[in-house]
Amino acid sequence: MNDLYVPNNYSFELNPEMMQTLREEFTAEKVVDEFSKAIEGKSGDEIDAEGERVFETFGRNWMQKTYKLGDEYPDRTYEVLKMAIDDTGGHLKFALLPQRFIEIAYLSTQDFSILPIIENNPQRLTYRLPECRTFNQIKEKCGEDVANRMPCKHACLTACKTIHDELDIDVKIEMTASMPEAGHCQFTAKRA
Amino acid sequence: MNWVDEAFGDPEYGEGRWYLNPKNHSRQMYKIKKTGQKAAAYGSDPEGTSGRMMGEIMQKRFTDPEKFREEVKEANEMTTKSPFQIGQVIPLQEAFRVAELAYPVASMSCICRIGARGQEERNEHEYSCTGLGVGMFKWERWPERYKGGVNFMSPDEAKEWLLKWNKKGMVHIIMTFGGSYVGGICNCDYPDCGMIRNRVDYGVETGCLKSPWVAAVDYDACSGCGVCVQRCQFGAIKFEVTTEKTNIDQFKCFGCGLCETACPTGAIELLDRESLPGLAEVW
Repeated sequence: MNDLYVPNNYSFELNPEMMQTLREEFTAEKVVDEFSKAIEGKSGDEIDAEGERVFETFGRNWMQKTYKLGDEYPDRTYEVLKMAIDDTGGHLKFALLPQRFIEIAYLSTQDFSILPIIENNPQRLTYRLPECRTFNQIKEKCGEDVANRMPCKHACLTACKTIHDELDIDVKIEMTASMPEAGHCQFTAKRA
Repeated sequence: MNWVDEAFGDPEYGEGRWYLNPKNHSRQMYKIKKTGQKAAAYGSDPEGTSGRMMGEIMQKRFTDPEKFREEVKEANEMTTKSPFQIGQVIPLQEAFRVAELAYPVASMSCICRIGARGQEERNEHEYSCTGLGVGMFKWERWPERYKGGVNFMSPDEAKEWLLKWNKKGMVHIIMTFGGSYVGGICNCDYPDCGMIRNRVDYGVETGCLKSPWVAAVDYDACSGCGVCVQRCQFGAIKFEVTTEKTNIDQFKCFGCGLCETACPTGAIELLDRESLPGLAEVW
């Protein structure tokens, strides 16, 4: 076998230490506890306002930390992605760079083993959450009616916006499906 | 519409063609593996599995011809449940559309020619295959497959590269890499290309379906130069001696468009297969 073909000892997987740090810091239990205390004795629009406040902050912090750690703990997939971005004159930056950090954010804090990517191309990034710990926690602690108001969507929408802001990519973000109606949540970032 | 379009196409995108459906070009980069679980070794991936199974069928041509015929028939009846890679011939213009859609696009070495010739090429022609999708970021996992590495290309570079191989006379075949996921466009020719050979010589259709197009010649515009005859990989074109014109057998035509892109007088055009009643179901 030619030396050229000897496999290198690269890791193409996400760093377990990084995943553990994110998992411990951004648990669904903690943020839902905070939310459930904040909505005690409140109803309707007040619940929505508290949901927006609590989950927006959570989403921003969660993605900022993901971005920081994701860059501090590179893997070979990320290194080759960055090389490919350079090789193509930046063409691959959207949607693949934000996709990586979004995958890290969800895989470190949810129970599913892959984040289904519905579409990723220069125009659009669409991903789906087949299940959600946060939604289930809200249902458990605050009841189905509160959960169905989808306060947690603010975390996902803000996280998506945060990573695109961090990477200086201008996108329009939409939630295209939600757990109560579709049985899954889906988000799309469209190149502006 | 063929069975792959029916299963994997979306009428909202690319005229319902499976390889122009952006969803079939999209995949996650990471998977959380169970403790101790490792990535599949080369040979157990869709390409390797497909190659190994085809090899087993081919062996029976000599050892058990009746079984060989049965297994080819079974392979053709498996459709979307098939463990074989699904492939379809596409003309240059559609390969260009894929280059805009697939993400990323990278050039890589051709495994078919290594297999067919029993040796590596190690020359300028070695890189004629196209890898598509995020799996290309992990090519170093299988260095024995991606000999010499891969080169990532922008859509414009990819189009230029596809055009280069088209000019040389290579057929573009788009193929899946597990389920509906589009994993590559091979630019290859008979008899080196495993997909073409399996179809033309042995009747295994799954890896090399015909394109949604069929070539047709305008006899008035045909100069009789015969360039198209040399370009056809499927034996669909013959030169009519007495008329001194090209004649295309549309039942044999795979719609690759190599004749069309080379015709100096523009006498050949590609027609929509489904607009021709006798050919609409011939894939």
